[in-house]
Amino acid sequence: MSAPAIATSNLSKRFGKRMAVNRLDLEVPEGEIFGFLGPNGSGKTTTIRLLLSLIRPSEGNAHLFGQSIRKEYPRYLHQVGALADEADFYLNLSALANLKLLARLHKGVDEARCLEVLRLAGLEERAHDRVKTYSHGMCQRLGIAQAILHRPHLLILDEPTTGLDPQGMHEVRLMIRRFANEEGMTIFLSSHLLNEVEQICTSMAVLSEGKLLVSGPVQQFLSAETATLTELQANPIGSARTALERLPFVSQVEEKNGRLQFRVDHQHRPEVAQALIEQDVEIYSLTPVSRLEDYFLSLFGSPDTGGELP
Amino acid sequence: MTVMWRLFVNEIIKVFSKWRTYIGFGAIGVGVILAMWGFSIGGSSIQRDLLRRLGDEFITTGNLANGMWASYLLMNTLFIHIPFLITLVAGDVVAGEGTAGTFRIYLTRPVSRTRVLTSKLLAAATYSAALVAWLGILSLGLGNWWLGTGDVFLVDEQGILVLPWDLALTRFALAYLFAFYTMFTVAALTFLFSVMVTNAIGPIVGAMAIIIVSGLLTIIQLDAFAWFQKHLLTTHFVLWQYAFRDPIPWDLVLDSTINLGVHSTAFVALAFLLFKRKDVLT
Repeated sequence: MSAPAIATSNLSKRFGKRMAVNRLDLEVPEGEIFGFLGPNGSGKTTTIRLLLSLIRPSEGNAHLFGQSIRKEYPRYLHQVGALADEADFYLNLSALANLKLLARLHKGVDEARCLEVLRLAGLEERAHDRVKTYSHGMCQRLGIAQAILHRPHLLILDEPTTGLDPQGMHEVRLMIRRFANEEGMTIFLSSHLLNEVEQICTSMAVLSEGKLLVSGPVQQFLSAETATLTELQANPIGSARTALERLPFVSQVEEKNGRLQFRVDHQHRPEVAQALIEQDVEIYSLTPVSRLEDYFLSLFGSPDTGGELP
Repeated sequence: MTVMWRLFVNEIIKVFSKWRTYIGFGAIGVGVILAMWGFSIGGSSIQRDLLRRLGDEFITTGNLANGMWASYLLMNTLFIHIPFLITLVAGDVVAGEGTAGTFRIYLTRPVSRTRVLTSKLLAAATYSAALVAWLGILSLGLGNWWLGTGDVFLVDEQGILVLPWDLALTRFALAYLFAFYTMFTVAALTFLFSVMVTNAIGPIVGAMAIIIVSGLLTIIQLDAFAWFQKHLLTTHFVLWQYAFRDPIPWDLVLDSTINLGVHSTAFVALAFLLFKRKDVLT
């Protein structure tokens, strides 16, 4: 059995009195698109910097494909490509010159490969332009291009869609899926965008105040049993709403696009249906809405944040 | 190509892609041209003044205020100006990457920090050498072309020294070599500060502050300062001037070389120690 792409044991980082990462035990199997979630300041970026040896652990260790970040630095970085935080480059150089600069740090990466990754990132036509003339979205795409330059087995991305418009986000997510599916890379994706993780990740972990809260397959957290948000399509909608608002175990009833959304625990759903029928409401559908956001609300107990973690 | 060579090429590309790198070359270029122009206009009056000071003791023929002599005078600016120009680049070579956030893409490669820092030190040293070489080539080349050439006639507190043209060229080469060695110490000091912070302004100001204070302590001749003056960095900035004494005081050259070498080694060793342990947070 091959070693996991990432395995941390007791990994900790202390800045003064504050524990940014606190005894983190995490395992990312090879081939996964792994979502690394947590609110701002939860220790996601610090963990990534530890994995990349940009900072030194205070305690514990991590192994990437079985290689210790403490003992086998910098050799283990052969297998790792990363976009740690925002994509920053040598602004006075062109995109191609930036990539050639980085290519010199790897064996067997030539100019043809630099052009190939620029093409993958959709930047081929601007390859000779100085990076200082690039938009934020182009820089992010170039950031991903530099990360895959040497064909790594593990791609670590720290909030790669931050600051991008919806089109840019979509393009970056497509790129990530393509790398995972076509090139077999393991992707470690840090994000505070729940819908992003929901859309593209196969497994995930949640970090809070430097500690691991939960870890497992995304589907596990999306299962109907854990969802409380429920959507109702019924007629007449006014009577349905009145009936729902009378039920003590139903809360937050809202009308959206001709449908009703409300919160109710899994075990009370039959009673909801019964109450609606008793009020002569015709039910077309009564569906639990499985969303990570919903799961997060149960974890952090925070109000709706529009798909972003608090 | 070895890894070290590739890293060095990278650093040279980075250094010479920034406009601040050319400030030093531009400043020296403008300074030398203006100085040579000034000498070409006022050279005869300078020569008359020199001859008056020599009185009846010497019979001189030809042009004393020639390009070689002008180049020697320009070298005297080294003490004040060149260190500042060195710090502009040496202060940025590490801290600049912190400011720009580029360490995040550069240090996440399978190359050790020791090698990366070595390549940066070599780039800073190369820039220092290039700046001194530029001063030498420009002042000697332009001076000899514009003001004419000949023997060098030097008057200072040591007395009068006349260096034949061919010997003077050798002495200039030696002086520029000594000047580079001295400027490398300045570069090493700034480099150390550059490793400590993530903004290039701090290392530049810090290094200049140390050089200014140290320079003051060197110049002020007080008994209270005597015990440490010998060990001050700036005390040995005069190393290049030893090349224009006859005979060359090799004991003083050795003393300054050792002192500057100890400074450089300490600065560089500390820089490597700190950089290996540095947390990249920008």
